[in-house]
Amino acid sequence: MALTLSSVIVTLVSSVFLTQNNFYRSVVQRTRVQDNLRVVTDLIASEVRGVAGGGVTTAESRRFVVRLPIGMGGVCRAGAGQGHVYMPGLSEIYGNEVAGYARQDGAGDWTYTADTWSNLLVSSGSADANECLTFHGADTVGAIADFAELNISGTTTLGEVIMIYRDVEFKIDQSELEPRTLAVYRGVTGDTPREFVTGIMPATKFHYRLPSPGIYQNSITGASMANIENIRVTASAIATDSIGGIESYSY
Amino acid sequence: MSTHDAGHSGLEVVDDPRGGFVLALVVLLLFGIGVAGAAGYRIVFNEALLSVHAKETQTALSIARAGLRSYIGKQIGVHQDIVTYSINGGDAVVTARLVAETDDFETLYLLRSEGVYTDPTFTGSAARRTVYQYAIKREVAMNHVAMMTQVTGDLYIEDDAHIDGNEEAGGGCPQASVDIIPLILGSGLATIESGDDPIDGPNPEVRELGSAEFALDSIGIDWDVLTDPNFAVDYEDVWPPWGSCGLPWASATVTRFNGNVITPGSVCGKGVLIVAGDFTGGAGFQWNGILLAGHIVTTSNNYRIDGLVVGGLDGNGTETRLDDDTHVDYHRCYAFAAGKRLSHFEPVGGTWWEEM
Repeated sequence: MALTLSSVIVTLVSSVFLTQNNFYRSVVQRTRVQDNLRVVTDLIASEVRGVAGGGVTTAESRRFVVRLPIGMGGVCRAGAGQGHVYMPGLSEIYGNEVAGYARQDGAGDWTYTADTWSNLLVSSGSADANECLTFHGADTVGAIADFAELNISGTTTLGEVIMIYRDVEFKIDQSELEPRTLAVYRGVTGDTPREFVTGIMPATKFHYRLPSPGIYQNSITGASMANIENIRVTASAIATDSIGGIESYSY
Repeated sequence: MSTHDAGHSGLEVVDDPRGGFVLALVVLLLFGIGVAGAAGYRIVFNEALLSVHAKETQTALSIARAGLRSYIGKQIGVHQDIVTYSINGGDAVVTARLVAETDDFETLYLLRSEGVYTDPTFTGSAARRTVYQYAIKREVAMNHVAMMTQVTGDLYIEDDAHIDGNEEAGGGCPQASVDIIPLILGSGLATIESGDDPIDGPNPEVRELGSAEFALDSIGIDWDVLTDPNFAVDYEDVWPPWGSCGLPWASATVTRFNGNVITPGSVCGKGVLIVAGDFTGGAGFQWNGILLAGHIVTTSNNYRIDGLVVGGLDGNGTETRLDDDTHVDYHRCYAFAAGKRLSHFEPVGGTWWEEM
């Protein structure tokens, strides 16, 4: 009698344990999938938001490359072949990331020029701040390190804005960390793209929209890339239980 | 199974070595359930926390961007270098740094806005996002292209009236000694009596642009904004205290009449005077600064404007006649000082970026 009762109790409790265990395993998987998707959408949205006009250089369904501003400098002392600028965060720029600079014309359009930071940066600091203060009244208080002289092709104009940019690449490719799935990679100028989201499904794609015809397309090429006004990511992720016994979850 | 006397009144105690196994197993399984539950809860809680923090940072970004827009829209006249706006449950701290004084009319600023937001239902440090935007400050209300601009309607100038584009401050202020065209007309035509040569200034003395839009583009004012009741001014439908002409220019004001106005006579005021309807100058009236009027009414009163004048802004195309002894003279210092009361920021398109 006692043995039977004990068996029933053990069976019931074991059943509860297994059910609970399955439930929590599924919760963990769902969480992982949602986490991956959120990272994809948040990171890409965060970065793409800063792309200026004409900043898309590759627009394919599984890969795009954009020029993202590292900083923008207002010309506070103009000249031929150079310009003194105020650019917050200038002293913290990581030179290897710099892909070039861009100048804005009167119509607001950007013209990009590939260059290296070592070639661009002539000098920075108090002497450059003093130039801007003396000739055009720049406010240099607490910001001396953010003034610099840059090598700029052509003649700069007082008050124009110069962008220092880096190339940032996003691509969907086979995952190295979880080979059964795809992954989203991100890379910046001079660096190998790194995997930052795994568990991505083949349905994940990038789409691009032009003002005309105003619909999302899988890829854009040529001069039309300068007119891209929206980048959309359709993301799908999957998490498979490595133990088995529970089906995969995808969103 | 064996029993023994426990030494109590007839009670028997089971002494079976298998008796504790089931209990131990059940306790172990319950412990396992508890651990799994706690772990699952923790994972879900962390996920929720991540989600909340992600939302917090997005809200902080929205606040930062809204702060930029608020600053650009609200800082009219003498601006504050640092302003905090309460937006959507968070704060946007906006600072403006002068980058370069481009010329007398424009200054380049870099605006920085830091959005700070904390979800009140979760504890933890506040989410912060910082954005930048270059903006040009239009230092004066309008471009100095002509002493008098008649946007719509013809202009008839009698020979005793006087329109003078020659700068009369004569070096009295940093921007002085620059002459401008005396008269520009938008859609109307000018008729000038030849008797006493009532118009002076650099050639061509009169330019007829053929379009009200061209005239408005030239002087660079937004009449709809200036006459919008939501656009705050210092004095609305009342005159500022008279006698300010001898006071420093810091006392200059922006005064707007939303309808027609007939000025008092023999008084002097200064600043920007906006009259949405008809402006009628009283005898001996003097205004130092800028006059923007829907229509300047023909009158024989001999009033005087030193600075800049724009008429015909109501678009009705009614003729204006400047009668005897009406004087409108270009005074660059007055026009600059008054125009600064309406100085404002305009964002430089495409120069927005976020601090990483």
